[in-house]
Amino acid sequence: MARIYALLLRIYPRAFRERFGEELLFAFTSDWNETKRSGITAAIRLLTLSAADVIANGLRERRSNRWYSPRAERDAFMPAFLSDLKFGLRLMLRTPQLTAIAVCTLALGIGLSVSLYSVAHQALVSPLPFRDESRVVMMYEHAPQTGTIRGNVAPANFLDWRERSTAFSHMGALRPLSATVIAAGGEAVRADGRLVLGDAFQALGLDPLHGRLFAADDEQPGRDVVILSHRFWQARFAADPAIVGRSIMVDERPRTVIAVLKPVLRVPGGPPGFDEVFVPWILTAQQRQGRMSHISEAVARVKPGVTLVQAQADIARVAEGIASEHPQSNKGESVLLVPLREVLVGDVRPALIVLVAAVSLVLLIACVNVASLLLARATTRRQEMHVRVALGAGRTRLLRQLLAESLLLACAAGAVGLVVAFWCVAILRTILPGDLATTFDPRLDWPVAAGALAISIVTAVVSSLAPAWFVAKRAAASAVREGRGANQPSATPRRILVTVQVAMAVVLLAGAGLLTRSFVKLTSVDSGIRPEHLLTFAVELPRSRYEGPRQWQPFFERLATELRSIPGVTGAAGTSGLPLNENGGSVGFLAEGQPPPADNDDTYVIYRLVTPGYFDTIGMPLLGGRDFSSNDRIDGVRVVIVNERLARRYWPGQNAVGKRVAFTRQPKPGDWSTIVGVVGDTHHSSLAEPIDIQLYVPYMQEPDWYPPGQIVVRTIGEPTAIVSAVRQRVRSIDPLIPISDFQTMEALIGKSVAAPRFTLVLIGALGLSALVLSVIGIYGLLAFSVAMRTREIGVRSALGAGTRTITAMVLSEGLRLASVGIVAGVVIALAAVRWLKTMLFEVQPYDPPTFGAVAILLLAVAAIACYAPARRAARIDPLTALRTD
Amino acid sequence: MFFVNIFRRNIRPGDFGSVTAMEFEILLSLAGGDLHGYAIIQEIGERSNGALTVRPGTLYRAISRLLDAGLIEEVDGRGTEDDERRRYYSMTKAGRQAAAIESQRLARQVETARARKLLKSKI
Repeated sequence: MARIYALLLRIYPRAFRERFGEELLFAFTSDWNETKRSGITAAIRLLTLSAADVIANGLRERRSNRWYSPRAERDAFMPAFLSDLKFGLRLMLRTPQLTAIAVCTLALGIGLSVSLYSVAHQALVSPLPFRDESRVVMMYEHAPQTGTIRGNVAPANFLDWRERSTAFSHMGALRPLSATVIAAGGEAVRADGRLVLGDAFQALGLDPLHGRLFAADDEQPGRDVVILSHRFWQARFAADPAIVGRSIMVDERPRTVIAVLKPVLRVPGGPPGFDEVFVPWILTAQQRQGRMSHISEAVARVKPGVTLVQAQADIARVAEGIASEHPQSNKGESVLLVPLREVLVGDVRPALIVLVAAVSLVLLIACVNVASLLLARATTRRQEMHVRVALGAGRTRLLRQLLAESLLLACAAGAVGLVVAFWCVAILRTILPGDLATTFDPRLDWPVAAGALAISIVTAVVSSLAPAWFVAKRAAASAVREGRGANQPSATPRRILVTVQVAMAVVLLAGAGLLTRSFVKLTSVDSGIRPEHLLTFAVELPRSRYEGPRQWQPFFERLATELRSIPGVTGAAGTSGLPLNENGGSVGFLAEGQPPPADNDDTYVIYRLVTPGYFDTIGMPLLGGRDFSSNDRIDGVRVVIVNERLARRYWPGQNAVGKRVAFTRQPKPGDWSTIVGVVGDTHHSSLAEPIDIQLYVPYMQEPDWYPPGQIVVRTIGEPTAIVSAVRQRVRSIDPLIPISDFQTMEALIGKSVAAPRFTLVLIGALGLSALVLSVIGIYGLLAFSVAMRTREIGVRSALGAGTRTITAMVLSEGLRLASVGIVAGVVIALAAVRWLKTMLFEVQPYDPPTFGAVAILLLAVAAIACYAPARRAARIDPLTALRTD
Repeated sequence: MFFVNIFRRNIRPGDFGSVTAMEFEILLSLAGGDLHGYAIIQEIGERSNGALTVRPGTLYRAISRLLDAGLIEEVDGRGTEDDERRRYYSMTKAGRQAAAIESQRLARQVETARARKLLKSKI
């Protein structure tokens, strides 16, 4: 009965209870002992009255606010919590190793995720530096039947689209341009830029910082105007706002600067980040009619209130009309609208999503690890918890103490994690693939970083509080009954955590393994050239003095002679576009004797101008026929050299040399060119893409294309050693020609695999982190388990269990966990790897060797992690073990 | 209820010379000498010839208020026949004053009641 009364006393505020509880109980029991002898009625009466008395007074006391005034509560809580924090800090410092491991583990997870979330958010979510970017679309020519998509459009098609479509407020075309600009100070510099047709700036949403954008009448001949990019204006004209209205020399022709653009990191297509000057594009009569030469990019702004689907339908209708009017050139051709963001970051989106998923896994593993560590520590702290409970601490009080500790840990980890995040972003900056790096500037995005940090800290608190709660509950429940070491704490929660950890590590490592294999395959693809000992650079011939092949020829012949005379140089030649560089356009193409191409996507061929000796210099094998010579002039027989893929496709089993090709679909007798040689295949844009059909033309026979200004030089020694000699020789021929873009061919190839390397490096790093964390997890669990079982192991060995038996026992405990984790991980990975599919090159997602290797690796690493605790267990001296406790 | 609460929190026993009936009973008991809680209950019961039964919950609430107001204080137990841990309460000087004031007030009331023929003889 006294116990029930004691329970009822809980109605009183605790402080009251602590002060008078015993007295109340004494008074009641005294009454009770007296009354219960005098019959059941009296007893019931006493009980009822006592209960009513306690309830009424207890409630009144509670309501009286004498014990629980809000202010008193607040005043009491903060100092108490502060002292909790102080105690937590002392505890952390008392076990520095454990604290350091926990903080570093969490900091690693937090740092990695904060930085990657930040970068991914910038790339995928935050607005690009274009006004209303969601309405900006790039326009591609598209043949729905064959699936061909061409980034470049023919000017005549563009003019029709602009005239006939209704869904767009602005439309413009851009064509790459290289110009020589005389900067402030009189220095001739090479500038990359665009020829601008129509409202390209308005469509993109690029505003001028100073001045005005191009207007329609700027496209008249004689209106020599130019717009400068912000970067170029700063670098070359000292950010002088007075430049607007002044005249500068562009390609040896005075042009009035009408505007400086606001800063923008990249304009889609073209050389990333380096757009410097913009001049109006004045179409020639031929270009106005041209539907076969796809030479410009088109961009449009969808009208407000018009959806992308409606705009797409509108432009498809227009394209259908054009196709019926010009069936030879446009049959089956439509237009595809692609949102700007898709163009800029579409390639890396899958990679970023995979990375975000991977980094979340690592954060989770880190949290699991910390949870597991703290669970171990909390288990050893049950004695302390018991003492606290015995001294009157309730479960909430215990949890508050543990919460303070978790919060301390999480905040410390968050602070260190932020530092890690800064480093990670700095590293990301250097390994980000070129396209992405120039689209935005990777940095810690503060709102996102803060959000990610908050989530991380919450995760950390939860993961460290969960075990604490678990233990506190048990401590409170069993405080009275349990003595020290009476029964062993259950390790099941930790076992589950470690298994989960191993499984997640398997998933990450499987991804990393697949990407590694893919990358190895990719980099072992034959580039078709001999990239070692090759230096490349670009020269820009001013159009005014180098109008066409007649002016080009003396320059390039002299250049080749001069370069070859540099000691250590074995060859030098030029091309209009280097392989693996996406340089070089495509043209319509017809092979003699073949049925006229209907809707065949291969009617376009990669088209490059080269100087004699190019194939030998760059290391492309001549498989048949001859190289070009200086006799292949504009007045001679038109000749071409094709690549092996083209020869095989159109003349399988025959010799292609002597066959003829034309660059129009309805050739007249004079339009044919004769194939004089066949060379090996090279990749046009990247090693991962299939080989295109390619065709080379002697530069002296092509007046309408870009001059072969991309120069390759083969050296005996280190290619970069001759850079200054090269500059000197070029200057000796024409001091006004700008030279730029010195780089080795190997570096150029490296750039083409930058995106897969980026993903690989990151996933690899994440996989490695996961591996290390799970090893720590397994090791920690076993070491702890051995320590807790010292007595049991001592008994076993006293009863005759040998060293080997005990080692095997501990090892098998660890390996069993690892195996379960590995099996679970493989199952999860098999389900998850399909997300990687688009990023793999010639490797199946379900690649047995990769999965096998990952499983074996983890098992081996787990065995190593188990070995040390197993040895320690085996060395336990039975006497010492039994004397503990 | 709300207003009652406000006042109850602010008014302590002895303020305005007021103590409740329960508090006065306790003070009366302690006026005869130091007692522990249960003894107070018994003393009150004896004084009223069993007419007044005090329950511990009510008693200790009043004791706690009196302690807070400084009208009574805890003193060491005698440690002879009773359990040594028993807490004894003793009336303070302020308690004695408050009890005196309350007694005078009650006496005045009793005089008035008698004058108005509400009370015939001495209790």
